[in-house]
Amino acid sequence: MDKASRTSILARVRQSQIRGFIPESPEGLPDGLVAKKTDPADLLFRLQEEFNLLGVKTFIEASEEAVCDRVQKLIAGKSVLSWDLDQLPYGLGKGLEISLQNQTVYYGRDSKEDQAKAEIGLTGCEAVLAETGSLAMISATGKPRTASLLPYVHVVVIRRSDIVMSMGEFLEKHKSREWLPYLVFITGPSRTADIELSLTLGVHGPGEVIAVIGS
Amino acid sequence: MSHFLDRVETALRDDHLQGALHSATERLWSRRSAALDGLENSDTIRDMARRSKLGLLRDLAGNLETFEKNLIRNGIKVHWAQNGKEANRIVVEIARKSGCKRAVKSKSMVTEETHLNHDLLEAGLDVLETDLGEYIVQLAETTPSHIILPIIHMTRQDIGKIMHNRISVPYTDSPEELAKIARVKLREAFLSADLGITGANFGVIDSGAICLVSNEGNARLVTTLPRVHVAIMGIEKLVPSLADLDLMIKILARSATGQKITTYTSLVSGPRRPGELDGPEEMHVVLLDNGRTNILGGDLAEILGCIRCGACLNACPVYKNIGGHAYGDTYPGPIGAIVTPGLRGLENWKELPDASSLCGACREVCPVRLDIPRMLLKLRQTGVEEGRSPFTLKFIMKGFGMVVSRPWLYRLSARWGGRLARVVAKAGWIHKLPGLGGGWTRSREMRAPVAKSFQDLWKERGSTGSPTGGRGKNG
Amino acid sequence: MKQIPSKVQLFHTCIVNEVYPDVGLSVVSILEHLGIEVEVPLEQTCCGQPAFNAGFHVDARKVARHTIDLLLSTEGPIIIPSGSCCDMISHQYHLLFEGDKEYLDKSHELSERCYEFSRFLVDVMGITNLGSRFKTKAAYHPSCHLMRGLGIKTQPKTLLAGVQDLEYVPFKDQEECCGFGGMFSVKNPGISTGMMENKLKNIEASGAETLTSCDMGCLMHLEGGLQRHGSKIKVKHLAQILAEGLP
Repeated sequence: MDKASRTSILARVRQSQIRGFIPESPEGLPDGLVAKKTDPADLLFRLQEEFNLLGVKTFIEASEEAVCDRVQKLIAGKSVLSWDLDQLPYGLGKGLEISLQNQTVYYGRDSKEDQAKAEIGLTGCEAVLAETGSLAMISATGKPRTASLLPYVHVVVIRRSDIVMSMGEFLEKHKSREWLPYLVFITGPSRTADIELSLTLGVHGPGEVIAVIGS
Repeated sequence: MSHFLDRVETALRDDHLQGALHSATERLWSRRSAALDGLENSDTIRDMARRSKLGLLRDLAGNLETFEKNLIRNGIKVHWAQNGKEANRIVVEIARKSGCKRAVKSKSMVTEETHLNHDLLEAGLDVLETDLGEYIVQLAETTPSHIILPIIHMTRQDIGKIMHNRISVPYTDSPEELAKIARVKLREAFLSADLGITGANFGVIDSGAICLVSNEGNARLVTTLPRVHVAIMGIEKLVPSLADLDLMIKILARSATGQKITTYTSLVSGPRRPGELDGPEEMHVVLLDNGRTNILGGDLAEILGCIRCGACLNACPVYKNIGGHAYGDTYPGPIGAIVTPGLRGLENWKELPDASSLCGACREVCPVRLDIPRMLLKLRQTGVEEGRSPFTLKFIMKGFGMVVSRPWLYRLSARWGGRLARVVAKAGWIHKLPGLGGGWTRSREMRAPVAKSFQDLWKERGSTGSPTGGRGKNG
Repeated sequence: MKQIPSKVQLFHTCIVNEVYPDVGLSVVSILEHLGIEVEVPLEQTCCGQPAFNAGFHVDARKVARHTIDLLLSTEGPIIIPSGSCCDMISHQYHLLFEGDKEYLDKSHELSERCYEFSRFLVDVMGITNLGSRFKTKAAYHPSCHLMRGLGIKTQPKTLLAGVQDLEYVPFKDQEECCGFGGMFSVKNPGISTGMMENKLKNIEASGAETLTSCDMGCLMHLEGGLQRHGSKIKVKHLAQILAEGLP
């Protein structure tokens, strides 16, 4: 049944694509968008601006220790759903090892019911797009998708060197991969405007996103 | 089903709806304008996006085959459905084979088009909409009235009552509280669901991936927690590459809600990989025709470039006045006035292309510059050629063509028509006209033609016609 | 810059001929004031838009062929005091004759010669101020075919700004369709009325005394609505304002 449908649809498409009227596009358009070179300092500035518009609370820390301290403070006393510790940037896993012993911590290997109990999600990210304030997350071993999704608060640790300007720039880097992994761009907290266009945060995903940017 | 004009009258009498529509569309419209103004080279980007979407239609068959090949390479099972019934049957079959019982859905217009929920429930599956708006639509047992804001027609009080009555929670009309209730209820459903159903905003040919955008995060939950993920997409929803996807993302949210980008933009490229601890174990893509090949083969092929942003709805003065339900099918607004007759045939939908003043606001805001007025005119022409117009109108137009192409006959008719009108008129105004003219005098006075036409006055001045243009072919 | 012509043809449109002859006379007096000789092809009827928009292409083609043949037998620029009729002749005739090479070519030749009234004054004649004086508060309705079809956005406003004692009053949703749409106004009277009432509400709230536009179709519809409301707002084509106030 499936096979027959495939054959028949493709045959119909073949006939139709010749018969139908598909308007020509104007000539002289560029082949693609060219990314502009940006000063790294401008990148950080732009990112902060976008985070600010999105309501993403941002901390910029000068050293690995400062990042660790900041994260410790942010998650203190809360139950946490974390990436595997060795996957967190800035050797954060090591720094947090001791303090986490006094907290409830869930990881990707725990049941999803347990993961859903966590109050805070703790992750790194693959890159961040300054232009839109979007976190690029690639799912992989030790980097569960749930950590940036289930808890109401998402704390993300960003390496300064992972800031790029645009999605185009980021995708360009990854287009030669043999296959594209599961990829999500997260831009601010979960939101809806379904009820009378009034903005409401945290309807399904995190209602609060906190960024800690290292040096 | 009720007649289009009856649905229109109902909508026009509904003050509540009128208020909601006007304020929502106005806000979306101004946000859209600001967002596009803020995008550098937005005109070029729109042209490029148009080129990309329309270009791939020229060899849609080849592109579909490549897309299929790349999906399979990524471990995705591909299915083809000629119509909605078949697509729904495929989903039921997948559920049956994998032993799935409870489905969660993220917002998808194409499954509205196929009436998937109905068929899933009939097959004994639980199915729950998880987009907040769609969830309320499902609770209220109605249909969405806007492609990105499903409950644009409801007030917070309506929604509070629906939640209170259908899921027995205390009444509240605070959007925050209502969203909180939904979060809790739906989270339970997510954790126990074994089947996730989505549409697809784009299918990226070269990556063999589908792209899903959502603001709430439900599309992520649907593609992360259940064991099985099925995505249903129309065969036209392709883009060639990630670079093209980048163009689409730049214009989609800006045109839809005025955001630079939607909160979650996911690229889903297969079931979980070895070592991953979440994501579905199985992933399926159902490619749906359901009339799209008919559209592709005709004068409306351009409409298959639509990226479903909803900007034309918000810009359309007709939509603003009658809302989405009056259009009578899945896709409302200008886009619906073309897609619905295109997919379902003109026979039962000929009123839709007529219900436009051809003002062109839709063409102006369309991020991929679809020439919607041209297509509406084409549909009207087809309707006439298929003999679908009422006898009286045919008669009037035949007369129009005959008289107006003959200047002497035109002058004669205008003279006698004018005389007759002046007899009926009071102080130069006609208060009530019969037949089609009654549509005019329902809300407007009709000015009677004058006794001395412009040409009469022109000749009185002693002026004459153009020496070269005195005689037309039929004169 | 196009050469300034000494003689033009006036395609006055059917609605001006039968209902609003003063608009035609106003156009003539302005053009003559500028020293341009005006000729009127007397065999002209209607551009055929009502049939075309309703989908009756066979009937519309009959009318369009007559108009094309007539106008091509004249010389000089063709002035049309209507955005809608001008858009019909300049753009839609091409669609009407897609399958008819002879008339398709003719329609292209014709469209080169057609100018909507305000565009002719501003873009061809280079006029921004005619020295007119007209004391009123004027609201301007940019008709859709003029603004989106022909891309004429600034020219009428430029000319209004040049009128002494005229106070230009903006209003909400100015660029939204008024709901006329030809046959649309009688085939979908409910929607057309809804759109009109929204437009009139905003115009009435603006404090305007005069409503002006470059399309008598829209103005006939809006005037009919104002009359039904018992409103005192007067309706005038842009040419009437300019001509009545000529020095």
